[in-house]
Amino acid sequence: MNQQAQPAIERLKNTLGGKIQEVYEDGRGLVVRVGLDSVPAVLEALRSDASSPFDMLTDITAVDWSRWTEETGMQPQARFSLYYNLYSVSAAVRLFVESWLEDGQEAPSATPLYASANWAERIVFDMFGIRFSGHPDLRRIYLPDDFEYSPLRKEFPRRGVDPQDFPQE
Amino acid sequence: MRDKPPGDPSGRVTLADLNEAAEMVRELKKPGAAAKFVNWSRKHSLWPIPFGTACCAIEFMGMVGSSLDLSRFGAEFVRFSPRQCDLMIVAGTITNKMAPVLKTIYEQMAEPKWVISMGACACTGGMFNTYSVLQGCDRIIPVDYYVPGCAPRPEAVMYAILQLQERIGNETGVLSSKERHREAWIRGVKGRGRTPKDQLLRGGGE
Repeated sequence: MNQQAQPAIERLKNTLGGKIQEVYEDGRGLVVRVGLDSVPAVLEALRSDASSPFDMLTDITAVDWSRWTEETGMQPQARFSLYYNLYSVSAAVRLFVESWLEDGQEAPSATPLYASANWAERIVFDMFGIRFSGHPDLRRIYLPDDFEYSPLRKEFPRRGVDPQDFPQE
Repeated sequence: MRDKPPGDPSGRVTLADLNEAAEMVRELKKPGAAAKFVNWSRKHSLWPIPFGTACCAIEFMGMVGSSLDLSRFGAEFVRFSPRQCDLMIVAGTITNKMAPVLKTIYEQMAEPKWVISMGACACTGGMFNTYSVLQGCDRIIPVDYYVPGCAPRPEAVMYAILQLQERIGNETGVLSSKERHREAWIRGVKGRGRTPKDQLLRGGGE
C-alpha cells in the first residue's frame, strides 16, 4: 500500500516541495507533515494527483499533546496535531496529512475542497475547541449547544464538571 | 341513603338531594368498588411506550415478541405516540443531549402514567460514568420501578410490570399527578440514596 503512495508523494515534492516538512511512516501508513497554512494547497494537490487522486477525505482528527512532556519527557512540536485521513478510491491508497497548531490558533478549513470535511471539522471543534477559519457552519455537532467545554482536551475531567456526577468525591 | 328515588315531587332540588350527591361523591372517593374497578381496568390495559435508545430496546423487542409475549399480562399495545400511553419504559443510555427529549415525551403522556427504568444505563448511567451521559433517568422524571441488568432479561422487565400491576391494583383512591410524582420521586431518591434531591423534595430540614 505504501509503495503505491510513494509516487504521489514524489509528485507532491516536485510541485510543493518547500511546504513539506517531513514524510515518515508509522503503523498507520505514510504521513506527510506540513505547515498549517499550506494544508489547503497540499490537500488540493493530492486531490488532483495524476495517478492516485486522493478524492476521499475519510476523517479529520486531532491529538492533544499537553500531557506529553510530563508523561514521556519529550517535547511536542505544539499543543495539538491535526490529521487528515485521505484515501484514493481509484488507486486504493491511503495517506495521512499532519499539521501542528497551538491553542487558540485557527486551522484553515478543508470544506471548500472536501464536502466531508464539514462535519469532521465540526467534530474536532466540538471535542478539542480547535476553530477552522472559512468553515461555513462551525458549531457543535455531538454535544448540546450550551456545553461549555472541550471534553477531549486533557485537562477536562473524564466524569464531567457536574458535582452531582461524583457523589463520593 | 334514602330508599325512594331522589328529587322533590315539585321539581325543586332540596338540601337533602345535595347532601346525598355529596355523599355519593365521597363514596366514590373511598377505596370502594369504583376505585377497585378503575384499578382493575388500568392494571390490565397498560399501554407501554418504549423509550429505546440502546441495546435494552432489543431485549424489549424480545419481551413483546411472540415467544415471551408481554400481551399475556395485559400490556398489549406498544405505542409510539406518548398521547396514547400510560407506561414509559426507558430502555437505554440517556445522554445529556437526549434528556430534554425524554422529559418532553414523558410530559406529553396523559395521566395516570408510570415509568419503568430498564437496565443499568437508564437507572444509574451504568458503565457510562462520563460527562455526556445522564447518571440515571430519575434525575429528570419520576421512576416507579428499576430493573437491574445489562441488559436485563425480558423476564426481569416482565416482573417489574407484574409488580407495577399489583401496585396499581392496590392503589386507594386516585392520586393526583402532583402526589404521584412526589411519591415516585421520593421512592426513587430513597432507593438511590441521593440526599440533595431528597432534601429538596421534603423541604430541606431532614
